[in-house]
Amino acid sequence: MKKYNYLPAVLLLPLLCATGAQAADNEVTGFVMPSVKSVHISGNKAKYGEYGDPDSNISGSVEVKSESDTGYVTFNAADIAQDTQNYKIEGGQYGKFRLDAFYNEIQHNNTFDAKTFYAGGVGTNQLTSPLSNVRYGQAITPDMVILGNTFDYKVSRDQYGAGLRLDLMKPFFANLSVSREDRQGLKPIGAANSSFPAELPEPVDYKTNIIQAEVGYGKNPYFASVGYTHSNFDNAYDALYFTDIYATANQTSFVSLPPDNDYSKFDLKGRVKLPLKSALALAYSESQATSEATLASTLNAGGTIRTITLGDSLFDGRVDTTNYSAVLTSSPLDFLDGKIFYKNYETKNKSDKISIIESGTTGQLGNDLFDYNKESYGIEVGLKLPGRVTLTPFYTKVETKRPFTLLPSTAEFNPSYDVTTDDNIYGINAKWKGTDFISANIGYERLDRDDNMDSFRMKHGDTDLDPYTRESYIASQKKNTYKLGFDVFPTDTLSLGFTLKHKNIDYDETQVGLTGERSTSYGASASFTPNDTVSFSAYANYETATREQLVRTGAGATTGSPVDTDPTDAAYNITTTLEDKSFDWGVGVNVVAIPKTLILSAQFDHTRSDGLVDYTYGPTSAAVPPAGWTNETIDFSSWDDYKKDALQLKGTYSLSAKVDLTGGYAYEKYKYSDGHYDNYRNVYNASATAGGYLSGANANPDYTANVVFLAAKYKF
Amino acid sequence: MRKNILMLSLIAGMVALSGAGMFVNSAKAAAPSAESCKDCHTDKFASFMKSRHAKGAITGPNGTGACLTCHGPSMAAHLEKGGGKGTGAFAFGKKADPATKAAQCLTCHGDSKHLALWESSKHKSVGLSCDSCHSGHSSLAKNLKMPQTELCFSCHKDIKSEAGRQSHHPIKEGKISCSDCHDPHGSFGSKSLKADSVNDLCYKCHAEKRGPFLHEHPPVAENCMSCHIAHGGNHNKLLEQKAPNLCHNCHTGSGHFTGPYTAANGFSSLTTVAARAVGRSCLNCHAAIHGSTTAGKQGKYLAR
Repeated sequence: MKKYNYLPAVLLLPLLCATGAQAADNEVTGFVMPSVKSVHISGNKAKYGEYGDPDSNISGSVEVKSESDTGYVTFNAADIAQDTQNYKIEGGQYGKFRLDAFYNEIQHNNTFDAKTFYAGGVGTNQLTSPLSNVRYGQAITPDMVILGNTFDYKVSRDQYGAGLRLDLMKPFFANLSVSREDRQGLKPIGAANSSFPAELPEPVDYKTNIIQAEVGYGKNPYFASVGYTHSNFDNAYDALYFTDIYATANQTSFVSLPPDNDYSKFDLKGRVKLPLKSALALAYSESQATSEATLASTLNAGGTIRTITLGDSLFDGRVDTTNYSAVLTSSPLDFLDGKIFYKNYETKNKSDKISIIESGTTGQLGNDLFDYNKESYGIEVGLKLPGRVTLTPFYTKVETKRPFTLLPSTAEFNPSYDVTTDDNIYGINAKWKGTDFISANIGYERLDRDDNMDSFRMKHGDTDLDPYTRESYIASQKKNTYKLGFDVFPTDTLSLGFTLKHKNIDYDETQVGLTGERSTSYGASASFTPNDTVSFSAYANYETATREQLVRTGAGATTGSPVDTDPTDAAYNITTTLEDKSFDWGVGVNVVAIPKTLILSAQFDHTRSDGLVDYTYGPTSAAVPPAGWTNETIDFSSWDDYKKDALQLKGTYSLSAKVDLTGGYAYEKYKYSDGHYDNYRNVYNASATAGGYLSGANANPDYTANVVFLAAKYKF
Repeated sequence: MRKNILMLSLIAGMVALSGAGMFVNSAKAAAPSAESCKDCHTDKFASFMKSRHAKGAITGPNGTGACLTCHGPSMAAHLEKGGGKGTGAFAFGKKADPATKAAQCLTCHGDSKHLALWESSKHKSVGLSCDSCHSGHSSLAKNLKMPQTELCFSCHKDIKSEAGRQSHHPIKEGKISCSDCHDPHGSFGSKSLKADSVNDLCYKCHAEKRGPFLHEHPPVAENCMSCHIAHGGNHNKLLEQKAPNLCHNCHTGSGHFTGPYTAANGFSSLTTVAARAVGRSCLNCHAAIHGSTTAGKQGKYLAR
């Protein structure tokens, strides 16, 4: 697991030496803290250490500060030699310039010891398998999976860069930064062929370079800046190729991977302060994102090689974005704060529009160019009233235009349609500072969204589904949000906080789709510090969320029934009710056992969720549960359910003014249950003509971890 | 070639940074001039001396005005009266007007580019001032009162709760900080985002999602938040809902006319296991959900 990548530390050593060289004339402070950690895990190590290094290790941290009255150099290192190690050095002169450089690693562990029958090429984009001789029509069995090898789904990001800030010529300033990220690893990707999916290890080998520059002027009442950003993304692989065990022998299939892209942005910002305590801020930016991909002219579809006739075999992608904003704020009177804003964000998709004809299918499958324009404006007024009450009514209007096709039809070359949404958002917030020992706030927000789908038709063949089907993210809705919160300080040593939030959404024009959502969350927190030696803290949060859906089913794609234009036809309707409950609470105590010598702390946190999906088929015979099942037994009673307990006990003993010893024990237990993962099998439905294969991604994440840690901190 | 240029830039930056240490020696400032407050405000004096405000080259607190710079202007009256509350010195207490407190700080920091949009910021409009998050006596980075994540969570408790759920960005692990995405001093975007749109922000770290793709998935190209949540949640990949229900929010009444994929189709079923009711559900086949460059039907359906 450990990479022991000391290169960054070596690179930064000269700087550390430079810092040390100043020690004679400057105040040099800092610490060195070696640490050791012993980890014992039963269960899923990757889930325990999802963003960390889950192994026992010897590591440490270092901080060096060399400061004078005119400038400084600081060096920080943490998690040295671990998967999450990071180093940063920064220096400069106050009010003149600052330089910094950094190296940082971010680890994301998903699943260890995943399994694949692709014995060759794991970690590359060419997966090969001895099962390539298994022809379509033969079974894929668990035995064959055992023939394969194991690998880890994990991705690491190694980031490094440097920056310069110049303030020498105040009020002018300049910033320049360069950074690079190398991302490598494996992540799961699905590949379906003739409805039999296989989960494959997708190689991740990305490189992203970013350069940012900004120059500007800042002296009241004026501020202005010009910025430029360039980002370049490079993927070492344009596709993942694999021998298709479901096709005839030795045929290769592929899944396309994210194409290289290039992004550049130019932006202007300005602000001027005006009379009557007012200010006007303006922003304008233009950006361009481009990509390039060579399109394959053949495709393996369930063992049939299909020829694809392309208008152009090279796809040039390009999206131009323009954004401009203005904000006017004013406080002309002591009791009045006002804000008016306008923002226009527009994308123009100038990518190639390519005609595509695939053998074995009817008509063209050309690509649709999606772009959109979001225009918003609004006003907010803050009124300070007697009794330490502040009222803030607000109104925002958002209009979003989307000239695109929602659902592609395989039978025709899709034209574009305009789908526009108009949002009216209004509400009021009230804040009461009350007395010295209590404050409260209450708020209400209403969203009225109207979709304009007059020219939109969702089709199945020649039959319109419109107007009773809506896609939720653009569907008309009425949304109410209520918020309440108050803080109480009964004594100088006790503080209490409570929050309540309720939200409900009615998708009032949707009859098939997501029809409603509601959620309520409660929060409470407390801290109690009776004296200088002990303090207690506690918190609890509970949230329940419910969503209602109505979906359609039918006997087959060729029947007209599922697209019955009668939305109330219960023969093909199924209602789905999803419930998600989340609960977390924690308590902590901190004790100064021996003043200035020994501090003890304990923290316990519990997090859990409880989900449910309740399915109900329509009452008539056209849509009924499968044989042997009823509306009562088809529900998923576990839906990403989990419980996590975490306990940490820690003690810090000051051996001397310069040496602290910290030791402790941590315990974590995670238990997961889900209808999609319980009784997990890598191979399912294995038969003479079918089968599905999963590699184990996200499966069986349960773990119990016991950790003992010790660190010695030497301060200088 | 790009790699070489970047590495050279990095090394050049480091060499220049080494030079920065040389400048550090250039001058020793005059001794601190806040001594007159020391006898009564011992702890405050000690914390101040550890802070960057105490550095001689910084105009203000350690200049001729000393403590008066922030706690003035009636320090003389405060001294004449022998100290005590309400005797002239400006205190950054709870009762003080936020705008007045902020004005004290903006006297020196008002020209900062970081505060150019403070007037229109959400934090200002809800009545916060600089001292809500910063302390002139702090020795932490940015003069914050406490480490950044802890500081933000002290008010945004709902976000703290979300960030603690099983699928989350590495915020509590310290690999992402709130200010990576949000500007607490105000921005032109909603939610104080440091970008013109949600997607522009997400692409900074997830550049592979930028495309442009041959076949786009419109809700994806418009707003990552159509499917994802930002801080943390109960469902993998920070999805707002779990597939297939998430997908059914839009793709319903069309597509696979085979049923809703219930427990009758899960691993625990003794009848028929459906690919859409196990593992990653719809994504078992529709792998290119963020966009595809595969021509043909499978690409159009984002399955290749």
